[in-house]
Amino acid sequence: MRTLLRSLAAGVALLTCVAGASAMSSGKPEYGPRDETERGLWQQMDEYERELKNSEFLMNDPALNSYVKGVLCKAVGAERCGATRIYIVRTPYYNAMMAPNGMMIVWSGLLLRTRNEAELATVLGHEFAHFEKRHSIQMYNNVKSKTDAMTWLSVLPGGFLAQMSLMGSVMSFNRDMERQADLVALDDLARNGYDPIAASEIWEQLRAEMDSTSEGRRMRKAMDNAGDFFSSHPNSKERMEYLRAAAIGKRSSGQTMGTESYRRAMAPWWPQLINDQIKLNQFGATEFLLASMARGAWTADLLYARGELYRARGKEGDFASAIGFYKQAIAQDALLAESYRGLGVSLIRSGSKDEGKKALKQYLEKRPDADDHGIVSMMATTS
Amino acid sequence: MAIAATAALLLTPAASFAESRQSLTKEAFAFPAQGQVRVVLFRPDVSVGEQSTGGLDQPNAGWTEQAREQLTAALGKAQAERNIELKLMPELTGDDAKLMSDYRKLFKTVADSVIKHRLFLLDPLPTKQEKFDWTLGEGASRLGALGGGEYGLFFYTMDSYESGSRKLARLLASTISEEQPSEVNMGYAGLVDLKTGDLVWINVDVKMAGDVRTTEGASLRIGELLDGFPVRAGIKATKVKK
Amino acid sequence: MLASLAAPALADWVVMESGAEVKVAKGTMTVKPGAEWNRSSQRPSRRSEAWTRDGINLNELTFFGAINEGESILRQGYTTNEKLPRFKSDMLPTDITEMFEATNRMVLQSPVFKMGKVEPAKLGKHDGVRFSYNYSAQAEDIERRGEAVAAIVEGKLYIVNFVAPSLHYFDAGIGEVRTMVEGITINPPKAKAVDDGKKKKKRKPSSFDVMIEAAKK
Repeated sequence: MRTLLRSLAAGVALLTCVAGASAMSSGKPEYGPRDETERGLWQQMDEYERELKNSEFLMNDPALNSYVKGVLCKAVGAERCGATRIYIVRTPYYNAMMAPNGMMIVWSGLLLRTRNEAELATVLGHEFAHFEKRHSIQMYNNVKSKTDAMTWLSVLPGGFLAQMSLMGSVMSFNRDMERQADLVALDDLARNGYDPIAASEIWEQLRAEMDSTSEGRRMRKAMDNAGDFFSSHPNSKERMEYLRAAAIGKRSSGQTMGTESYRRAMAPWWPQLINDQIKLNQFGATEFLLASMARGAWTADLLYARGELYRARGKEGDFASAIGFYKQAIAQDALLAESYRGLGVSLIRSGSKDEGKKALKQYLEKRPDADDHGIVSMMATTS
Repeated sequence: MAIAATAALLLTPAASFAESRQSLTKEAFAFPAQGQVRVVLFRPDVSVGEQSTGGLDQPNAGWTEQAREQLTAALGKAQAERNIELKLMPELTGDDAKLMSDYRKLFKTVADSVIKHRLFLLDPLPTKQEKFDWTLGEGASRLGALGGGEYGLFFYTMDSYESGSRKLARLLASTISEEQPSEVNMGYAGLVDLKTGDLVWINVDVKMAGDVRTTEGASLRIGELLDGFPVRAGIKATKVKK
Repeated sequence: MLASLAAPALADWVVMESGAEVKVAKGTMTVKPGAEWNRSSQRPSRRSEAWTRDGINLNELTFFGAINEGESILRQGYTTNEKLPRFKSDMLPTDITEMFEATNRMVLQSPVFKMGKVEPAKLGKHDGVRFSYNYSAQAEDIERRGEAVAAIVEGKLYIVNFVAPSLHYFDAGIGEVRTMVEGITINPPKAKAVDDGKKKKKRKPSSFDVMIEAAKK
């Protein structure tokens, strides 16, 4: 009971169940379910997928979806990726998972954290490898006797997203399976034109994100308990080392990281992705994440995000810090209207009313159709 | 898929229900005595599984498929006896599928309220005790247009059978705590007037008979779920005995 | 927002008669409902109360009265991880809407929360802010709409919030709620009443509290 409630509450639990592809989409006989247990799992996943297609949480923008699918297809080859359907689900945590029927789920928090196509391809390829190697069926049989969570699952309120997450948390793979998936994915990546060094780099970054702040460490502990990506994907030093070692022999000049193409594809989504992260109200973790994304080069977008983070916390000195970040953001990109909004509010809150109202007016000029135009107009003229 | 109210029911000791089955019909509702009556059956929500020792709900594809087919067939037969045409909602795509999904969620939410606040008096709402006036709203007429009918029938059943090893474990009382639900056999059916969106009839049973894995069981289950289903005006309804 | 909190809630309900003036949220506001409502004995926080017509899941009207500096909108117990944002009396109208949004995202565990129009409005005769929004809670995945009016009066925060499924129930209910909000009277607590509020009274635990306690074990 305790485990379940926490998993549901945390909303970060993980999955990655899985093996085998769907008869539904691939038409290849070798991908179908092999016995009654597999058939049952397939069918349940088909039902989940049916619901997922109409979920309020689905990010179904065609351009975004075709981009992500394209990365997987490039990584594993067009003939293999056809067995999967990718669904991008709006959840601000790091995760990707794959169901036995070929349904792959990518959480939006992953898109925020990956920095280039090669890193995204690493994660998608890793999940795909578990799927092709049918790892989950073995694990499913193992956990049947381990938990009573699923009894509750079938009767407790909780959407299918939470249920799937819970399912994942009872289905982590063993070390050998992880290693196999890592190396298969790395091979695929290198062969198909991505720089395989991305594999160790993304694990490094994620590990650092979890370890580098006290809040991050606390979160990591909480997330381990809730059964998220990090508890099911042991993120050891050893892992980074074997990934790095394997990558070195496979690097070649024709390979790419795909940094610029990734940035372009994500640009329209970035404000929403970062906003979802900031509104988690996890100051330390978000502060570290922003710094790791900036890696010394604070862009206008990142500065704006940092201003929002400090302003939302609103502790002693936070408005002054926020004002500084917004001003730097505006210096880099004067068209970033929301920075003027944040600047105006922070100035008024810290006592500089006239200057604040001026900034709010600049926001209104740049966003005449903003949803909050009415109230901000009032704030810019009275308060 | 479990919903909040059904969960609440299942977590309440069975002894607190005088009757495990409760139904309600909107005041004075009957199908018209003459003319065509078409009821659109929305894809039944059916889940059948087996619980292993720890209670992991092991999905069983054979049972679930079989149950859906048999429930659908038995339902068609029951409707034919009432001179009502049963139509299956066609498989929808795109915006239509989203609309259907939205109404399915709304229906579940409404059923949740009816179950909790009215049917089983778990948490009775005082303003509702003399009324049965829940609705999906007039927008539900769009479902009538999609399915070609004047009424819509939602249908939900969830079964989880104990496996042999779990039964043994329960006997040993070692792993299963008292309040845990073990065998689950529950279902509900709800009829919506697709002109007004009004819920005209609902029937909920938290302890259903009938092993839906068999033909006879499915037929028995249908009998229970259609207990009190509205009839044509002028015809006396029959009550199914438990 | 009680709607999406997963607890088999068993409340005591009292009928709010149509057309009869009634004090709400511990007497901090007076309203005159235009239809019959049911008032729940379970409070989303100690400064609030919730009403419904067809079930909390289908229409929920919540009154938050006289939230003090340093208090959160909902009980901290609704979320297990981070601290809910706290009210400060120097907040601007947009700060209130942002606090409301952050609180709900955390309690609902959902990023699917979109703030819509935010505009000046009156809460009774006081200047305030009206905002509309829609969201889905992960546990349910049904789309709901909400509309709230908030005002800061004598340094304390007042909010009236209506939430219902986007299909049918929101439109069916919002008209009467708007009329009720227009006619609302705010009764700021007197100094003495504030002292009373500070007395440590033992509250009877609700089933939410029980569930939250169980989750912590």
